[in-house]
Amino acid sequence: MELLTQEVLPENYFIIDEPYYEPVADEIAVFEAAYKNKLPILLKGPTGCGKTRFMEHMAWRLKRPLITVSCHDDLTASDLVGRYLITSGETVWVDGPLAKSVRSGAICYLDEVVEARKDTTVVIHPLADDRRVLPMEKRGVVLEASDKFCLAMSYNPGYQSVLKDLKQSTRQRFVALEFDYPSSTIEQKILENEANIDAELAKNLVKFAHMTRNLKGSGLDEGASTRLLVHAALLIKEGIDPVTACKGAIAQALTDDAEMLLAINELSASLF
Amino acid sequence: MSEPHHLELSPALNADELEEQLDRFLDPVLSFRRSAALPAQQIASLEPSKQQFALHWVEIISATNAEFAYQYAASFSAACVFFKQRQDALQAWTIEAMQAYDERGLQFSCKILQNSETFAETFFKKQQGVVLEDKQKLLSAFVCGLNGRKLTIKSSNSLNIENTYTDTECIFLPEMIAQYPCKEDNFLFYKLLVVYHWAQNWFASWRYDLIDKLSHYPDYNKALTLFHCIESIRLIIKIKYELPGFFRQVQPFLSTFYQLRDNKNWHDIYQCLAQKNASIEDSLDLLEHSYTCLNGVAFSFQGSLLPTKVQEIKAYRLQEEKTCFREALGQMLNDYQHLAPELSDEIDSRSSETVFTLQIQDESQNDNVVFELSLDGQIMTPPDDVQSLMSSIFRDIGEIPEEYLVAAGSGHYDADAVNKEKKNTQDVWSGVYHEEGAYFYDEWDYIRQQYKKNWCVVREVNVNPIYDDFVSQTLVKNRAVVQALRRNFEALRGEEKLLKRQVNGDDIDIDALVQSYAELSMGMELSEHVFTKMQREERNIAVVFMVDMSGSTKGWINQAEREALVLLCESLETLGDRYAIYGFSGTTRKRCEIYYIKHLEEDYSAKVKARISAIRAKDYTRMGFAIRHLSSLLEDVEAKTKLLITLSDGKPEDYDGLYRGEYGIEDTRQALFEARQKGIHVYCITIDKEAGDYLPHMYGAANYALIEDINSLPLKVSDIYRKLTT
Repeated sequence: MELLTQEVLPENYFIIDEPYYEPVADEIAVFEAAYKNKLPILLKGPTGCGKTRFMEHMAWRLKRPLITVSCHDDLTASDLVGRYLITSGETVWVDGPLAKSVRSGAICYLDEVVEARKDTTVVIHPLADDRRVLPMEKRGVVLEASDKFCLAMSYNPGYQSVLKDLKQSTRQRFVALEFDYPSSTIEQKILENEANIDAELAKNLVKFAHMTRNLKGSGLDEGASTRLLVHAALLIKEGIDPVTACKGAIAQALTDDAEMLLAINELSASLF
Repeated sequence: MSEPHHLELSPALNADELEEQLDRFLDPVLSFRRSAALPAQQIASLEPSKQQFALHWVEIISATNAEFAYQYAASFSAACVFFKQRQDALQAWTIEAMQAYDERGLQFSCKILQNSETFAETFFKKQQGVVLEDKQKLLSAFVCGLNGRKLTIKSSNSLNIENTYTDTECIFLPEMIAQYPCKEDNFLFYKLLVVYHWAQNWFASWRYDLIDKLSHYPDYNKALTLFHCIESIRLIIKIKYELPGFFRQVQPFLSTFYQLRDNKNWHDIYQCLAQKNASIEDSLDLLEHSYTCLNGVAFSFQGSLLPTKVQEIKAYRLQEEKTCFREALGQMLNDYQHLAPELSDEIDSRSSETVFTLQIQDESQNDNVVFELSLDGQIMTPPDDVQSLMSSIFRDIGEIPEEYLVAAGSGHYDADAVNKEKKNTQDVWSGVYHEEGAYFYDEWDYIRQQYKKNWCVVREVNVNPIYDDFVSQTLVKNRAVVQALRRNFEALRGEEKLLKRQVNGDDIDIDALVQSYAELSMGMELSEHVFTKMQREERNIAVVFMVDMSGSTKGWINQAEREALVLLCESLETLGDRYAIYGFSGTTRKRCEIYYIKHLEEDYSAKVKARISAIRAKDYTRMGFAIRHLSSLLEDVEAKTKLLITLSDGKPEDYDGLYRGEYGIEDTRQALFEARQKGIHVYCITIDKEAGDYLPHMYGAANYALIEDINSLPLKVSDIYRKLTT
């Protein structure tokens, strides 16, 4: 059987082709400066505004492997650092993604870090200040970070839940880059590039996104992200009717509330 | 909805039989001069099912008011004519009249009974029409999405489309649209009204004071009509570019628009307005040119222009926005100085007032104006709310005047005063001003089998704390109990638990590993369960205690309740659960009171202790409203387990007598049912020895506890809580 995909060890996961990224301000320069000075980086911003894409782009730019950890509320410290496993009659230490990055000088990207338990986030503290070490309690050693190692994490301040807030002791170790939905012109350009659609359609999709963002706080928790716009654009390009595409790719993704869905569908029907 | 179940089976009654039955229900209002003979005769001519329907409702209504029931019987047969064979219409009419009686009294309900023809007309119209009430939320979200200043959708309290208008803060729409044969078209017409009036705001139809602009015309009304027509053409063309999909949808309603377009007298006007950047100024110019030779034509959806109303609102808003804007600039200046302290000296030394400069970039492709503020050549990006504030000001007056660009210093402007005033006016508009600070809750009427709307007026009342030694004395008195409770509750506290034999985990479970190797060497399969895992069990409980403060608790019951609360608080503090305490009592539906003793997030402070000490017996035990109010509080709390525990001494009852007995029990039961639907567990602790007769019906067999000995209440309450939550 011919394999359709290939397995790559995380520390060897280099991004070869340039990921498309449209800079909004001087975020690339700031990231590079921080990387050069071994400062960890925090990306703030709403979902789907390009944080992860930016990380891929930077990994490509700096020619470092990118190890991404999607944080969740069951993520423990050993999930990050490593643990003993049992193989053929003996226990073997297996590095976690964080330890792997530290060793190989990769970029370790903790996605949605507030989702992780608070005691878990603490293990990154010694890595995130000038010590740049990772204590491995179970093995009784301390791992020194390679010069090329970089720690980055993302979080969405929009949740506004006390439980989902970042501790001061954590956040005050990072250089923060704020992300938001790009301006209309840039967002339109992104759509044209990502989905290969014409300018008129891109303009209308961006307009629609703004309509849904107007509804934030009046029935919607979030407006349509750039990512959702790209999804809709891709569907439309395949010949799906724009109103149907917006319904499937955007409206249904935003809410389950029947009345809000109707309102959003009315809005998209008004535009296309 | 209750239906008389014997409708189809009963034989027809004659007038005498009917009169006999009616006499029974209407007795209090009958006399020598007034008998039930005439209504009975009229009803006798109806078919049996209608007769039974009438008797059924006369009986129910007479329980509320006999005169009302008499009027109902008297108007029934006339109404049947208008409602044809539609029983649902008849029922809707009956319920509407009863609601009117509840809300506005006998006179008003009689009016509805007498005007059954009008009611029938509206009812049948509603079948094909669209009612604003049903679509209000949808249309509000729709207009909110469209962009611009937030517009509220309100009813114009009329059916006439001509009464549709916008005052630049709200769009007032007719209560119902039923002029088209199908619902879809009627709804589409609603949308057209909304979009058209939104366009008046978004495309700045109200930038100038129209009264002023049109005052020099000899005939003001003619000028206004013509202006309305020209401006409507401009707006429709704007909508065509802005919302092409919508423009396509509403083609059927635009016949007037196309007729005018093809009319050669209007040709020039169309030519001019068809340009993409046609503005309000163009409309006013066109009015100037064509005033003598053209007359305005009305579009079906144009509603009215009410310049006086708009001016009022605008004047108020402008002042408010100016203050807010300058406040915001002051805030930005503050942040700026904070970020770059070396610059602040420079700014401070120059003058006391800091002036920003503004650049307006017209991003014409989006019809969105982008503002750029700068201070000393430094470009500053205003936050989103300031951007939208600027855009609102810009739409009102077409510029941002220089006097706006002065940052407010501290203490110069009182933005709070402006906001405060606004809040009050909003209260007036929402119609609560006469019941200020009150919540309204429905009440379940088991006789009618439906809710009485906004029946209970509920207020949260503060308990004046009494600082005495009640709490410390209680603790001394119950020293042994407190210690026992503390030990019990400490054992409950969430602790980390080491889970063994897990598939995944932080560490290796040596015991399990050794065993599985032993098994392996015996030829069995190697078990996967060889890890240990720490699991933290968190108690995520929010509990509200609802304490009966009715008059019957006076004396030792009250004392015991307070002691129970003290012990409970001590126990819960050990446990760390979130808890709140509220008392309830009241006299009649107009004065339902919730006494606040401790909120969920509040600490167990000296003040809370003093409030517990101050709990006193008050009036009656109307329970439904308290359950509804407290469960709506609990509903907003994020917790895995939500509990509502009632401490009570008896059945629900109230001053007006009606609430006593079955009515109160059924209302309470319904309120508890609503609470359960919100995911709240309800429980009742009572000292009423007869509780077994009614509590299982209200709370369910397993959801109450009867404490026979009042002295053991303090200990028992904590104990019951412990059992409930483990």
